[in-house]
Amino acid sequence: MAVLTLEHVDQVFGQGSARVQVLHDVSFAAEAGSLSLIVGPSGSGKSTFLTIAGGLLTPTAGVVTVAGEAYQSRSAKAREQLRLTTIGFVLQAYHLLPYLTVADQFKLVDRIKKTGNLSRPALAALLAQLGIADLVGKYPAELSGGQKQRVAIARALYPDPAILLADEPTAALDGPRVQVVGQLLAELAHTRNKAVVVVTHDQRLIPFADAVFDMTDGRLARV
Amino acid sequence: MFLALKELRKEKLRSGLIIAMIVLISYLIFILTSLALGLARQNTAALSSWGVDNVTLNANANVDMRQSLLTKAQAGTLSADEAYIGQASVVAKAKGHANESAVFIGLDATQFVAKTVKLTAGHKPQNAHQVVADTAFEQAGYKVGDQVKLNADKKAYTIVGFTDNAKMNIAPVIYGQLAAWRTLKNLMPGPVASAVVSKNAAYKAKDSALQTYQLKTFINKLPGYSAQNMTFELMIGFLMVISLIVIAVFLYILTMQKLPNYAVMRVQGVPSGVLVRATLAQSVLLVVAGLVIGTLLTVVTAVAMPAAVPMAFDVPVLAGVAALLVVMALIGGLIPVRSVIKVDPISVIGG
Repeated sequence: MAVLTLEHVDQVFGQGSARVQVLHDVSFAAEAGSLSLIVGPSGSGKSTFLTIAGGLLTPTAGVVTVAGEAYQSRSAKAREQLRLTTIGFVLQAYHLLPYLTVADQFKLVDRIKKTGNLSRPALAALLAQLGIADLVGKYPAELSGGQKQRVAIARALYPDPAILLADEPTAALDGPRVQVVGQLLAELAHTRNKAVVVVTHDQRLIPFADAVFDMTDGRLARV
Repeated sequence: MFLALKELRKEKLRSGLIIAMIVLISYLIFILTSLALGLARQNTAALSSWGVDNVTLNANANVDMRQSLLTKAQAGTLSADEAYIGQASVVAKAKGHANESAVFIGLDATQFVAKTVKLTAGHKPQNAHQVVADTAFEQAGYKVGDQVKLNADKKAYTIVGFTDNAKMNIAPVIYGQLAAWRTLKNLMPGPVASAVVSKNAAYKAKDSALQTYQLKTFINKLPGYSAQNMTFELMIGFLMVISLIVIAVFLYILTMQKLPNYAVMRVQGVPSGVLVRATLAQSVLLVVAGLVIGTLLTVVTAVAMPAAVPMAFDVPVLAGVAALLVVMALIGGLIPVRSVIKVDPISVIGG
């Protein structure tokens, strides 16, 4: 079942001679329980695709639907709420709050979203699955790049979102780490029934994907 | 509050430096306020202790009791709510003691002011050469029974008692009889006092040569009183503004450094209200922490300060000053709030 769809989405920035069309008639559907990979070089429109899919940017044209309802019909506050409850983000630079321990990163979610988060045992199981159960007392500065990324994934999954959007999750990782992350994202999609959408220029993730799309010059095509 | 507390805990050095600045500012403000209050009280303590509502002086005395003389005919008949006051500036001299500038207040023992003077030792004057002195004399080594000479009067005056809280024009008061005041002023027959004070708010001098002033008006006209208070108020006001700027600048820098973090939280759906509250909570926490330490330092100073230093540590006044500093912190914390609200979550997507 498609939990996130983009239909005929265009995105234009600027006007007149400064007008740039970044996305051209993009249509896409993310299914629950599948890992979709959007692959393309830098500047191809992947990040714009992600910001539109995450409800951070309203497209110039087209319809984006999450959980059966179009973004356009939702207020900014409702879209914000959607990002809190339904969409999890994993960002390229991890962006964990530097003054919160790993445990506190989850407590912050509890303070903002009081219900519907993973239970304590479920969180413990997730941390164990990600191999970071013994890092809960540590600050981000005390973690390696790979550990930070796994914490960022756990942080994104903690509110139990239906959709996980990942922005270049392997940008700073070496070969073996890319394999681990690819496997992990596929597992999360399959075992936790999440719609995982990854935008990346890293071709090494392709073997783990259920569906691969190519983004070139703002045009999306299934590979 | 959660985010603010966690950040303070993690960034101990940075928070400590900001708190240290606020400690110094709050301590300075507390000490200046106490000094201002202490000096103000030393101007008016005696007057306040009499519980009077107004002061009647000679209309030509420029609202200065030292320059005022009035006759019995001018004063008219006094009720139980009125009393004569004779004021003279004196220098108290005694063997083995440094000369002490003081204010001599001559009183009529039968009138209410003389009755309101509370003694900490000894008894009230029973003749013209007996006086009750402020405890500043006791602290200077005088004892009940000691003799002092006042101005050029050849006959010594015996200290028969001490009273506290007796200061006027930042000088200790020596209470005596009106007859002694007449002697010290070298008066010809005629004047009976410098002023008539009354605890009846409706009292008004009938004689056109006299003028009745409300106590507040009279106090504000005390020599140097208003200028001194205004100086302190300006200093405290400037310090408040400085504290506002320091807090605002520090918070602005801290907030600017955290904008990428805030952008991430906005991506994750954290409402901007949570981030604004965190910013304000951080500024209040920093200031409250600084105020607590500043207060402790002030308490230590109050305990260690010699009694001779004119400082008054008035808890309600200092609490008011502390509350104002918290308000300044909130205002300072509001300055970077616009940047927090306007933070663009898209800025953290795409590396």
